[in-house]
Amino acid sequence: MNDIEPRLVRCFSAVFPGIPEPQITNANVETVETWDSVAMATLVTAVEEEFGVEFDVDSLSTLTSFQGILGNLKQLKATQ
Amino acid sequence: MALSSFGVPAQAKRSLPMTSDAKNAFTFNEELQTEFARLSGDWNPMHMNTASARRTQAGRRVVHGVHIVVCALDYVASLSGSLSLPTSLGTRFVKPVYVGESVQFRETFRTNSDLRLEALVEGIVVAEADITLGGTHRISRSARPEYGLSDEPVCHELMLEEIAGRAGRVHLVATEDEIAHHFPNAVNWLGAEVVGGLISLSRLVGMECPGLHSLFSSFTVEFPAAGTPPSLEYRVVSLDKRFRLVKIEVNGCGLRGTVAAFARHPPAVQTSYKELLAIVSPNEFQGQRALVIGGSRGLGEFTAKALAAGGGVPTITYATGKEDADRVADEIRQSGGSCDVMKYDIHTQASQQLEVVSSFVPYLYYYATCQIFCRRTKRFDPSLLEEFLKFYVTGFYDLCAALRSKRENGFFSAFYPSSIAVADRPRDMTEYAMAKAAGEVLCTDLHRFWPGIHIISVRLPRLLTDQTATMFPTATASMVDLILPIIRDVQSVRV
Repeated sequence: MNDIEPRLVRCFSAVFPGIPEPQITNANVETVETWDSVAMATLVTAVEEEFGVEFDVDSLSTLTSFQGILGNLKQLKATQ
Repeated sequence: MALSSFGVPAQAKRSLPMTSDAKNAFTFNEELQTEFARLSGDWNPMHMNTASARRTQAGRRVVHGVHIVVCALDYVASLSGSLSLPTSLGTRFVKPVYVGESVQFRETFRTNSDLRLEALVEGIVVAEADITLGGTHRISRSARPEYGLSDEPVCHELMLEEIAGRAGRVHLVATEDEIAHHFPNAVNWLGAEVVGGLISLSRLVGMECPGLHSLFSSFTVEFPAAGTPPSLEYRVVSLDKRFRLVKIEVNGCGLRGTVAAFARHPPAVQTSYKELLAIVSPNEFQGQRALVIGGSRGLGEFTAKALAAGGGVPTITYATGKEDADRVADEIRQSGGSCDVMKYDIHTQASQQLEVVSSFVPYLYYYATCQIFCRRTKRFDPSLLEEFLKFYVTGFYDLCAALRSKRENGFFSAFYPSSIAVADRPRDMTEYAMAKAAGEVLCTDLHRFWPGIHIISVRLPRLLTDQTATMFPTATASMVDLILPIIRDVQSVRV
């Protein structure tokens, strides 16, 4: 459970290689230039693959920041 | 740098310095676009047909992503004769590149085992490639390549259900000599078979699977030393219906790996005329003539059909989409309605263009627009604002003035669609919101100071049009619920 954040950072690094690692935990759709709908789909599927989870369609609209995804992930992992 | 072929001329090998700065600009012009389509067999309309491309999210014809990657490989190979052979290549297409644009390549990272390249347009990364180095011997070929040249290339239009589990084979189109002619440095480095295999990925995605409505997202391939099949074999291994994301395993032409592509939504389909006949009262707009600027698709198409369904006589205009405008008019006429079509371009004086309209048109719907969502290179782009202002302010004023002068009492009723972006201010829509805000001010003042002119301006939410289509599931408002009441308001004004 404790390694969720660093693994999520790695997913972000892979999808958004332009973001310096220290800034990743503050990343969100407003501040990352390349975070468009295509990047969003790529990111979500990368995270799902990494953690073996699947986000509900209704929750997709909340996955607009690192912290938002982290929160959703923790919830999903807790119920697994 | 002028290029006679796709890649960097072989003689440039020693004259270009190895550098981490972007020094080279490659212009992907019309000629290269067509040549790459011929070489790859990827004639997808998003690359080759202006009218079709305007109905995609990019809004304009885009350069083949694989073309950019192979040029990047050719470029890096031209700089260094000592590169060891790659064992793998991972590429991601970040932003579209439009035909005619210049792309720069930049090496951002290199060790003995890794190399990272970026392709940039005006400083914005449009594609990235990670190359793992360390192959120790020439990649061998197992069999003679198989060619499959089609006189009339077929661009498959597949439903999601047809994509799931799909498998097949893509043959090379270009000969090894042609490939070597166009990408001499990449071929020296990787071999013609591998470069041909990479080029075939473009045809796989653009023509075969997902085909017509595709968007190439990324690929990761290894270059096995042992032989692979002589043509590119493919198999869809997953389909994520939430994002319409397709993953395809490929094997052949010296490479083996995975391709990710989106199955884009086809162009937005508006409520049909027949459906509207059941919603709109038959004589609601009986005999009322209306000019629908930008009536060939989206809101304009809906408005024209709704007016005609109520007995009105819309004249829809198009700037470039004549085929689409004719399609809308035909749909209306075939079910007994009336609809005229005319060309109208906001860049040409309105009064001149309205001369062909035989009688006065007292109702106006102004849906003229340029591409709203486009790749940005600046936080605020004055030229973009200027373009939006032309469409949403100057063009509207010019048309209103022309309509006013055509009638003695100057009366007419108009709808000006504004946007909730004026208040909500989503990212990357600064100039759009500014121009729409300016349009609102214009509407208010025309309404106040030009007697007899009635203008309704409404801030519309996201509605399903070609421009608002997205890979990501997004809620859109209903045109019937939102636009039909506005049409009724506009048409209720007695002019």
